[in-house]
Amino acid sequence: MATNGKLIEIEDLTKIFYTDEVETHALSGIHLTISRGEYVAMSGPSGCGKSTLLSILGLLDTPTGGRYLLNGNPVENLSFSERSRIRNQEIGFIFQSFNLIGDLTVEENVELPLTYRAGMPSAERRKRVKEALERVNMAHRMRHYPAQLSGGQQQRVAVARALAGSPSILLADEPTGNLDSKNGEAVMHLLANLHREGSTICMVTHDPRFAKHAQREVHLFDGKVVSEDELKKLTEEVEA
Amino acid sequence: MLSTIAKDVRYAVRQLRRAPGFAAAAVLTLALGIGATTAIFTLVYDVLLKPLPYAHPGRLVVLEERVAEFRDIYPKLPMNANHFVNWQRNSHTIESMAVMEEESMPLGMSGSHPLQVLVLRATPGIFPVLDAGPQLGRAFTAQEAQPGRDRVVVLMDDLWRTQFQSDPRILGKTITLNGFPFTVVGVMPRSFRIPIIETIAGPGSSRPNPVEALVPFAFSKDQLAEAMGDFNYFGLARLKRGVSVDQANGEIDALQHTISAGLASDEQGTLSAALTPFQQALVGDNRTPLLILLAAVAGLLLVGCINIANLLLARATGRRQQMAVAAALGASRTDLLRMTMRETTMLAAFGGVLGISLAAILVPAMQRYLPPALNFRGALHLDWAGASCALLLATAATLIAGAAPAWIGSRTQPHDVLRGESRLASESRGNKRLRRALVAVEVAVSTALVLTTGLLTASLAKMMRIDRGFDADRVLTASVDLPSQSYSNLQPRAAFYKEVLERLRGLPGVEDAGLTSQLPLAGDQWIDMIRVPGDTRPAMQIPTEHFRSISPGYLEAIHLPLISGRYLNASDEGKHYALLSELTVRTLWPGMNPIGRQFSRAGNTEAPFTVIGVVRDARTISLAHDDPMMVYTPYWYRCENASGLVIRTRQDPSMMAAAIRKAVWRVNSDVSVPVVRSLGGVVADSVANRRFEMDLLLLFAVSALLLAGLGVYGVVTYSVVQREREIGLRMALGAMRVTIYGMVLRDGLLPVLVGAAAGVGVALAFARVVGSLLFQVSPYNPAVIACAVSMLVTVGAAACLLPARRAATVDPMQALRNE
Repeated sequence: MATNGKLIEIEDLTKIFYTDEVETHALSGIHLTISRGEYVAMSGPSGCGKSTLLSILGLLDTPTGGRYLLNGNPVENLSFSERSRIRNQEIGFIFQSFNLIGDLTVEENVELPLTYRAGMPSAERRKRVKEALERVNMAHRMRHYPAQLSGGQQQRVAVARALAGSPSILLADEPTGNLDSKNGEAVMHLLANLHREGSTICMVTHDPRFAKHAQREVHLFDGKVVSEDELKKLTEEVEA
Repeated sequence: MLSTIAKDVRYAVRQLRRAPGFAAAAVLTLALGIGATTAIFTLVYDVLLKPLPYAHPGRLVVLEERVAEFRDIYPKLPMNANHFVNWQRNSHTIESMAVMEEESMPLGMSGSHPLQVLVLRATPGIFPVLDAGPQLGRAFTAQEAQPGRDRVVVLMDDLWRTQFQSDPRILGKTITLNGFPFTVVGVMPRSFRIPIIETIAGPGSSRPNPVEALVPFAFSKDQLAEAMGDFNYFGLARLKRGVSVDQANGEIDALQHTISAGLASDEQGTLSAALTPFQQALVGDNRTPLLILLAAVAGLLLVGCINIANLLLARATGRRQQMAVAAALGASRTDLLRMTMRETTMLAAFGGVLGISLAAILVPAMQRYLPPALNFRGALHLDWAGASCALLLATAATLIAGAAPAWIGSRTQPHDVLRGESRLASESRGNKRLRRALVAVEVAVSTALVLTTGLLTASLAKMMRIDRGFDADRVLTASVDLPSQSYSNLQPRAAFYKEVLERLRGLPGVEDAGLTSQLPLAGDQWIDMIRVPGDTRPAMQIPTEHFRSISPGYLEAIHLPLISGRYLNASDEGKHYALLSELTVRTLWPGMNPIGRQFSRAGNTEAPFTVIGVVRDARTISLAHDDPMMVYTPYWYRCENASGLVIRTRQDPSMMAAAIRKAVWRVNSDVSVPVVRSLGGVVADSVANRRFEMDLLLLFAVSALLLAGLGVYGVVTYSVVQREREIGLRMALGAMRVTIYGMVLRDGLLPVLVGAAAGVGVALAFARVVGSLLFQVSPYNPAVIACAVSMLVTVGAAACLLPARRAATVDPMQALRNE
């Protein structure tokens, strides 16, 4: 299927959470397109649906309605194992709390997604791990355990883990949320460099300073995509 | 101090009330472990360690003899009367000695069937040996231990109470025993117990009731003249103060050499003495199995403690925040240690109290299933030794279960915990290693237990399945005791048995019936030497055979196959015919046809026996060994007052017990038929010790298996809960469900495999000890080892499956959101 450079196409996407008798509309009629090589920041107040949208983009969650095309292929109704395979090969995750595994070394953490790829020889895995760690300047800490690293270093390792599988897109969920401003800036520079080198990035952040690093900013409010002006107005209304 | 303890108790109770499921599981596990271990310890203490209930029991020794020429078949023999008299007269190291034998005798009851009672016939030395005297009247004297003057009896308290209503004027009254009048001269006190002596005399023998009366043992002239036969009497002695068993043995050995030197040339044998501490003799071969049982049940308790340790470890990890706050507020390491130990101590206290209560129920329940060889002291009960054991176990359980959590708790670093520690999505490596190590230890203990039980089970199964040479199906046995007065000679005895057998054969449903002097697998009675014409060797150099008096129909009734010749039949009556086993024939007439050949009993001038048949070698003395040389002679040649009837039926033999008793009583209603049971039951009784020990081990092994399974389940489940974020992350990174299944199974099974291997190693290290209890099964049997390991691994895998399933269904989004 032709993609016209579009990596992600979302049409009229909805997500409803059901708890007992309450229906919560987390996402309502989202339309979004992300092209290859694009760096998109998603922002909005707490509870606006940013993380839910990111989870659906990362195939960690399924939408209640609407269409989601990844690389031109519909992915909203795939089986669990099919979604696992796509996550492994097409998507790189960067989490707010790094999520490195404590009893694996830096090298093993970065290698982890590659071990889930059937048939990849270990030499190839080692090469990719080394390259990924070199890209984030952490190759010299390969044998260390996460607990021996600072927060900023841990997040760089997490970025390397996301890069190691050469995914189509990096999904970053508040990647600076657990870092001080200096380390936060460093990670943002790292993401900017990766974007310059051709990576497609979609980042969730509530910090406008970091959102400015992206090429394009998507604003969410109450589960809908709104313009920056609309967001301001709606926020003022809520505060008033 | 007291207020601190009270506060600790309050906190501990509060903590446990917040987790009632955990508290109940832990207390029950401890109670079962402590209760079972205390019960088995009580048995072991009672049998192996508790002093016998006699004054200075360490000075009591069993007297036995050794005859070098018989050592291959009988390493030790009971006493000979002639030698006993010699020892009694000449020993300076022994304070007093006695010989005795038990006999079941009918006690005349006015107006009803006689009551069969067990009577101990003993030389007067029995009273000083056991340092006991009657509560009423007197003991019998040396003069009363003479033929013709021996009709006096000392009643045991129980018989006096139940049959003579505790009549204080019983002394001087006459009672009828064995058909003869006996004058009551004394009544023993209630606390006096006669030691069981049959358990030493022969394998498989058991008695349903305790001794109820004592009569003097008056040796006949023949008994006193017999210098190299009649090794039939149980000897017991009290050593002089300060004399060791070895010293006494040395002195008696010297007396034995003197006796040997004086033997007639035809009876030349090399005699020596075998003095064994009484308690050691009573314990016999049961020491090793009992210690294995104790080790097994202690292993079970250890497995239980490890399970609790793992649960406590999980709780300790969950309480790190609380401990960190305490540490930040100034709690010392000792305070932290106390905080973590108070919960364990409370659990152990509850478990200990419940365990003692359980042991108090288990001990009497266990006694009901005790084989006679382990039941020689009377009622087992939980005493201070058992209670101390329970206390010790509760303390040990506290230390074992609480040590690891306490260690972790006391080393809490407040800054690590309070600042949120790291943001890593996993359980700490140290904890994981410790928990795995604990699982490996419990699996190792369980494997060793399952493997040992497997070996003993295989051994018993092999023994029960072994070709015994006879068939016990649909065969009923009955023991009969003829009163001595009416049946003092061979003729009336033989006539009685003949008539009873005729009546039995006439019963509907009876296929065949026969008589034997000794039922299969119920011990051995008559051993003799036979001489074939032309053999001029001295008596002690000619072969020794085991004799059975049988009637026509006996061999047919137990389906002991005929190899050549024929069985006995009624028309042979009065003739000196005999049947021999194959081994006897191979030894006496190798390569020759034995039919029609003759032999005599050594030293006997009566008419020789003619061989009319050869029967298969079987296992009628012990299932564990092939029979030695067997000789079957007719009952009209020799039969005793106590014999066994064997009846093969066409129907369920249990339906015929009453009919058999009736048939006996139609011939003479004064004859006692104390026991009627299936031959299968007799066979089973012959392995009662092994079965009892194996049943208990089986129970412990299954419990250990379940506990190990629960332990693995608990650890893996806890690990999955702890690793939920990690698992979610792995799934987010593309791990398939099957990969997560595999990971959890691998992680869970690794300590199981390590533990199983270690358990096999432990079991093999003790192979020699276990091997001594096995029958035709090697302690290195690969099939049993494989089976035990497979069982543990299967249980371990099954225990991992549920948490693995839980892990595989972790929602990655949910798991990662819960950071």
